[in-house]
Amino acid sequence: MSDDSIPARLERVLAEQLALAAPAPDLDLFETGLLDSLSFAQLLVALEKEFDIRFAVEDIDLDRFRTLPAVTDVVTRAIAAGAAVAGS
Amino acid sequence: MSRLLQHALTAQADRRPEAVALVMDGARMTYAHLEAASNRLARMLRASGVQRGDRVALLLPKSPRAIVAIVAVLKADAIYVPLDTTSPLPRLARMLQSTAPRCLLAEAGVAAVAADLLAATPERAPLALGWIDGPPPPGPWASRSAGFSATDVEALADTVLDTENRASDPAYILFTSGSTGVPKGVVISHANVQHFVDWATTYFALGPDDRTSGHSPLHFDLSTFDIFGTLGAGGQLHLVPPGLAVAPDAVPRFIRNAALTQWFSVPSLLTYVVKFDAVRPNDFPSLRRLLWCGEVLPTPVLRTLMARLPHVSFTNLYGPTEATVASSYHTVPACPATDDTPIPIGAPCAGEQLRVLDAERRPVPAGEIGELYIAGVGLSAGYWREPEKTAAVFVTDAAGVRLYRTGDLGRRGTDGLFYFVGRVDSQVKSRGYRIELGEIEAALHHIPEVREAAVVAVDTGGFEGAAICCAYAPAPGAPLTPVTLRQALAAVLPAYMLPARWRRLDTLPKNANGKIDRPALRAAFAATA
Repeated sequence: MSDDSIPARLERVLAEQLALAAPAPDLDLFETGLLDSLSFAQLLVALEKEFDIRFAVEDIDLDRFRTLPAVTDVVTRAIAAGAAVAGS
Repeated sequence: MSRLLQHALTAQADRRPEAVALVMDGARMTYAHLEAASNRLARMLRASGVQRGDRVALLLPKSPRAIVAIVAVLKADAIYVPLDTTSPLPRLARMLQSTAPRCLLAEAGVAAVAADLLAATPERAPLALGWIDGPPPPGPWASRSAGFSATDVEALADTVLDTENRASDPAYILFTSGSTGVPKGVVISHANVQHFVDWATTYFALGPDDRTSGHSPLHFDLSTFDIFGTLGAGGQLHLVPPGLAVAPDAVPRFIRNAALTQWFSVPSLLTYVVKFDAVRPNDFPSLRRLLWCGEVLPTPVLRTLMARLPHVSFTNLYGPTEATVASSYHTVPACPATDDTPIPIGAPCAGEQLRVLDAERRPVPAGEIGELYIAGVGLSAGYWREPEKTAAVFVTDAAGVRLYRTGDLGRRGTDGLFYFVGRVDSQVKSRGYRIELGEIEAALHHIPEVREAAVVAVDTGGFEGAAICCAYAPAPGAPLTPVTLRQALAAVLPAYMLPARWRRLDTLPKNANGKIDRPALRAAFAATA
């Protein structure tokens, strides 16, 4: 059975949709050149699709997407925010 | 006297020396400073052996200093060759070997790239290596080059130099993707650029109160309009830092903070900004005009922008690098009624002609699709030291008129305007970059673990333009995943050429003739979009 945790799904999005190997958790995705403006945009779109979430423009602060744990955190919050809207 | 691109800048420096010419990251450079610094550097280039018609390669990230270098090269009667400092080394080395520059201008921040580049270029005629931001950084320079540093430049006179160049002499060489895997150098003259700048300055009423964006990288020809259009008119050029556009609201913030009057970029950036809803109603009160070039701006994006920014005029520019910046224009008169209204590439700019011709190069009737050819004042003399490639696309009609065969399909509408319809070949646009899919395939075929591979483009309707998709079959026993294949390609191709989607197959689908079935691959990738 596949691992359905958010970090595991995130790694699959990176590998299958962006052909990027998941780096160590403390590595900066931008400074290492792993993400540039196009692949970052692709990542945002892929995350919205995979997790059925919407990012608001004010959420897209690069400093919140610099490492894999940080991205996991943003996604977790976006899922929670979506659930709150759906339940209200 | 022949009119050269730098003359209008000198005239502005005489007229308003203390006016601000360049702004970046809070730093400002006046016209007087730009004039004096470029005169000094031009003298240094001459003293280093640069002669009329020599090439000077620029290994410089976008900055006011890099603009000084461009102007200095022109003032030394030389040809500038802007290199993308982020491009893979083999590609840069090929450009350096092909253009054989007398001088390479660099700065401390790119010292590692400069060292690798020199090491990758076989020994040849001496190269002057100029460090334009300070003393030479530590590195293996002495063995390869006679050089100079910013201190040497400072010691020289800052008065105007005599020049011998004429308007028909080349100003720059820009490289575009080549279908066989080798980029082609497009040679563009002073007159080519000046004609476009003259038309645009009049049409857009560019003036000293303009504050324009410098978004395009310097190795992209839209930057020549930013530089020579703005500075020739005495305006302020606000250089957009590379990488700024990663966050979707960075560009809107930049336009607001700099109170820009003109924004000019490739459409993908505008699409990205709109997708994340980063433009507010009545945003950018100072903005007068928004221009795009390089690919099609999706009509839904244009409609959103026109509804949000009723005070702004919107102009679509069209034209390949071979015909200098743009050859036709269309200012959209009113918000398009529907999302599928096509936006024309419009009417030719002054001194240019567009023709829609059939395979025998005869005009096709209005409304019918043919190949777009361009004639007129923007046409390049051809590709640098590539007579065969030049002859293949720069042709002469029965009346002796020189034409550039664009490879674009188009038609002339009943409204008299031209419309872009598609491509005759496998060239695609992604983020405004021109990409020959054949160049990516050539790179794939050089990877030993790849048995067969094909690259196709799929229109996703997304902000990135066409999505580049790669299907491949590994050599027997090779554990080649998309992740490792992407890494291998990234070592030889610039980031914008890397495929966005991947499919690993045991064998690629073939058509009745035994050739790779690209339509089937396109359909397969489109189905999983």
